[in-house]
Amino acid sequence: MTQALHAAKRLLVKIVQWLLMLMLLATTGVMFAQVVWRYLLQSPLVWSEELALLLMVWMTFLGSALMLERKEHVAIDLFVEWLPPALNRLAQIVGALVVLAFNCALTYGAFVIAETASESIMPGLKISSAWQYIGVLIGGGLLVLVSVEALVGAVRGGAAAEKHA
Amino acid sequence: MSIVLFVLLLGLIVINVPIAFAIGFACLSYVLVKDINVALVAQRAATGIYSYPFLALPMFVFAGVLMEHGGITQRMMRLANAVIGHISGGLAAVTVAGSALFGALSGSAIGDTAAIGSIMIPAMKAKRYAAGFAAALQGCSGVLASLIPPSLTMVILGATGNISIAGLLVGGLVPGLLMAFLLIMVSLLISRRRGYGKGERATWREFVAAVSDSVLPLLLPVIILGGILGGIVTVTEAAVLAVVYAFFLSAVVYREVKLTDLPEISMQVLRIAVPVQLIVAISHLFAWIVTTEQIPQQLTAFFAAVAPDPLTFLIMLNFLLLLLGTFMESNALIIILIPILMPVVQQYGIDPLHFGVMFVVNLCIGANTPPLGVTLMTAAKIAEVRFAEASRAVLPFLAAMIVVLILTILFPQLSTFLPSLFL
Repeated sequence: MTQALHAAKRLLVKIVQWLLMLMLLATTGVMFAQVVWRYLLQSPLVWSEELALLLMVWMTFLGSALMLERKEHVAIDLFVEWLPPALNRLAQIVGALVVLAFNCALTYGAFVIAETASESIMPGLKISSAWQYIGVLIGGGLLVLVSVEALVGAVRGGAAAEKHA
Repeated sequence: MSIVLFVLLLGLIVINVPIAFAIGFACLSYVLVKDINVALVAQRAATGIYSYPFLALPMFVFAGVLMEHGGITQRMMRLANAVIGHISGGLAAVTVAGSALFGALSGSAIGDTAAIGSIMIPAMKAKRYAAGFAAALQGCSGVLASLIPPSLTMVILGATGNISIAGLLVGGLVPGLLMAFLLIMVSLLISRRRGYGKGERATWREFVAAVSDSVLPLLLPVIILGGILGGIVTVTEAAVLAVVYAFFLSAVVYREVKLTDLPEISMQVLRIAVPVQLIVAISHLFAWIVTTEQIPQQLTAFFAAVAPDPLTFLIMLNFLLLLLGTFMESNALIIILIPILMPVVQQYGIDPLHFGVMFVVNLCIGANTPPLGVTLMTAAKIAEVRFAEASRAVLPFLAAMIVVLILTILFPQLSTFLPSLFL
């Protein structure tokens, strides 16, 4: 059971990594196309800026989930290191709960907004405005998964010593 | 209510909650207490990053990482070495000059510290420079990247405070060069007194080779700044051109980056850019609350009572910032404080460019002040020296940086003159 979970997680991380790389390259490509079409071909693209910004939203929230898993988000671990082990663990559990609570609210909110926004159309891309929030929704879902894992880890107190600056 | 919000935020940061999520949770509590629709959290976060100027952020990081992998760093170091490597304490001067040159390409302080530090710190240690000195010098040189264009910090500051990004990028140049100059002077004085060795004088042929080898990379800041200042492209478009040019140099001209390197390169870009993007997204929510709670108005009233003129206000503010900077990360400070402070700054009639550049100079000092000087920490890790030792060695350099801060506060022209010429 745990092994299947681990394998599923590894696969998911791989997929997200590849998606993120493609999004980064696509953003660069789209923005470069915008420059070329505007300045060299003198016929500005109407959809390039919207697409790049849409990718930016997706990259931010999918990427945040990956970075939360890798503990790459900026945090200050200086003070908890001074705490005695029992208090340190308590701080970790509280911290994990806080992150989980926020991620749940983010995901729920993204769902609500995506639904309300589904009627309106983005002027340049001619697709539903909901796509912007679907990125937040998917990223939020992944963030929830990562923070549940972190909470379980904190409660078990297993890999507690892991930290990043 | 606003006091509770800040106390909660600080408390969460202290117990090691990542700053972005700490801000997010504090805002969520506010939204829940005030019985506002929770969907606001997602809506503000998504629209916060849906912003054209911020697109420059991942692009500048991308260009910097490509440069690092493409062998540009070594070329910058060779150039710096050929020019000033032979004087006594030459390696120290090369560290500063190289960091300034590479900072003009990469734009990120920690990236600059890591990239240059991994070359220069071992070199300095091999020449019997004290490891603490090497770490302290590199930490302080690394922050030059946030003053010398193209700087990520300036992009974030401009987009958050609604200040001209192009103006900020150019405005940081003079204080940045001044800081580089003073850091070189201080390190030369210390090196002389302790008898740190000099490097070999470059032969004429080596000198020519180093210069001609650096011409193509050094065109990059010219393209970026020229494009922005000439009003030809936006900052975001200039950033994309920088990526394309950096890719062209690394993959086609120098052939040091292959297509198979792209996964590793993009992961490095995402590691640097995404955490900042999330902070940007979530603080958009924070800014909404700050406005709703009328915190700037309260702050304006407070400062009006205690600081009668702009200079007193700036001096008080800088003391507060130096204090906060010792334990807060720079981007988080910008994003939390700028929405609160900008209305106050306008009330005093202070030029936003002057204020912005001064703010960044102050953050440069914070990034090297214990207990949480992030660039100093990065440099100390590379030098394999205890943070406490690096913290002692950093004091003379901090003094030099404080001189730059004082000059920037007293003479607004240092930050506003160049932008006024172009923009």
